[in-house]
Amino acid sequence: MVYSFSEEVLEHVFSFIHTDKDRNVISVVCKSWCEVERWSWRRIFIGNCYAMSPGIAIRRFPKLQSMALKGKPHFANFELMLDGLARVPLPRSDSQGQSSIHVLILMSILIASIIAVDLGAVEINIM
Amino acid sequence: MAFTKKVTLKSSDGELFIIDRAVALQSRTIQYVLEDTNPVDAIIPVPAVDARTLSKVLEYCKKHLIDLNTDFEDYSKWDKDFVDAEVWMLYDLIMAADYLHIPPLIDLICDKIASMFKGQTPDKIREIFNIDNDFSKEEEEDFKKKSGWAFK
Repeated sequence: MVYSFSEEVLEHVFSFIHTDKDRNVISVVCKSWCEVERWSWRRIFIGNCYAMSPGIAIRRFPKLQSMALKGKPHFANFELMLDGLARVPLPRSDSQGQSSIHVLILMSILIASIIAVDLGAVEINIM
Repeated sequence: MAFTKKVTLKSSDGELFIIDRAVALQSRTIQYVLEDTNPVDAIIPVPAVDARTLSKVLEYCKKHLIDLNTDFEDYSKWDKDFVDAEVWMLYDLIMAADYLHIPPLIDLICDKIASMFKGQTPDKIREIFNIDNDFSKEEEEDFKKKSGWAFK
């Protein structure tokens, strides 16, 4: 018997899974799971902002509400690390499309500034 | 408006279930039917759910109605036993709970199914739920390469 869960049910099931490892496993089970799974991400952590593209992030996870970005690792001078993460609040806009564009622009600016001023880490909350 | 105390549900395979109205009202789908048409002694068809699954769903609805005062621990134990079932049963139950729209039952089963994913490999999950891997080798590699940063 093939168990074909509806998208709504799958999304609901995935909302009970909280570890990134399990999330990653689910997204490679099959194409439809991958498709449903990407809509259920609300926050991501990017360990190295040089290694990612804001465009891919926003396309893949359209419902992001929060993300943490890390810039250049400061192995040599720990005293320059920010105490915790800097928080950059974003107003939530009415339409999803508009907010995605906001996030995309903001992410691009943040990544550019992280690189420019050599920041340790930044967290964005879209609330 | 005359409210009947009892409601009759008819499963997809024709079995009749006569239950208290309060039990039936836990299903939003049936609640809407009752509110819209207020059928007196009418039979409400539940075409998407067979008798075996419907009786299990109604068992849950009855338990959660009668035992609203049961303390939390007893309740969660009963729930845990309730979803300690084979995959096909969980599948039938979630489809029925979704169709009948019983939010706490949906949550309960989704949580159970999610717990079956935890700590598993993609292959094992495909095996449990009988899913074909429709990613080609190239697609899988490409996907991991493009989105690799998300998997750190």
